[in-house]
Amino acid sequence: MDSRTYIGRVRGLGSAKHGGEHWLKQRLTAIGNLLLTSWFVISLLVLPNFEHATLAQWLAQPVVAVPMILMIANIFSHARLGLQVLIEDYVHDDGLKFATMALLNFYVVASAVFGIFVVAKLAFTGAAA
Amino acid sequence: MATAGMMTLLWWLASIGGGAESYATFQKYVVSAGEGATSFQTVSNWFFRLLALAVTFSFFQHMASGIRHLVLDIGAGYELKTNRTWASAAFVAAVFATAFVALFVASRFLGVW
Repeated sequence: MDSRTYIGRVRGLGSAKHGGEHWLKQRLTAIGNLLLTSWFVISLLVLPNFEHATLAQWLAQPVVAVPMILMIANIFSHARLGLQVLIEDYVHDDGLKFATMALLNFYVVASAVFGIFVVAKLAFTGAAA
Repeated sequence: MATAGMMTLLWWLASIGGGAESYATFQKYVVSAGEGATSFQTVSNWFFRLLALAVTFSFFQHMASGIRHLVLDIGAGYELKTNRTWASAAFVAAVFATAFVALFVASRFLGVW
């Protein structure tokens, strides 16, 4: 038996009352993705063609840019949550786990910000020639 | 697979944002290089066509399986037979959705057939 105090024993084990947060977020982003990616696939299929001008004008509209930004944010957070579980379950070495987790976070944040920036720039400044 | 899909999506968006010339470059490597294609571009085209097919299937499989798991999360469908039926149904639905999208895109946009 260790002689530490109760608070000493639980410290560092994670905060209370947040146990379901990751699980719930994964489901919420799943439902969000269901709606947003369905919108995306159907919108692409009903476009008249895939010429640059068509796509640039389509993407610059608020009714397209907003769901597109939401979709990028939602896809990358869902991917982060899912790949986090994959790493937690299969990477057993502590150092490697920390490194892969850091890499995952850098990757999803950088990618999502890049995607959102591209769409926002197009929506705010119009298509480049 | 999902990562490759996400990266291609970002490349596609960036090339639209980058203007007609950068979109043409994207098309040359991903869709079709047309007349005067270098052999690298032809290989790249086929690589991305296969990737598109694989990503489309992965996408629908993940979606169908995800919907199945959302239903399981509310506590329904745990009987062995029901569970097995829906697991197969999700897979079959993914195959059909992939075939539909692939044929639709090929006939309408790629000028195949």
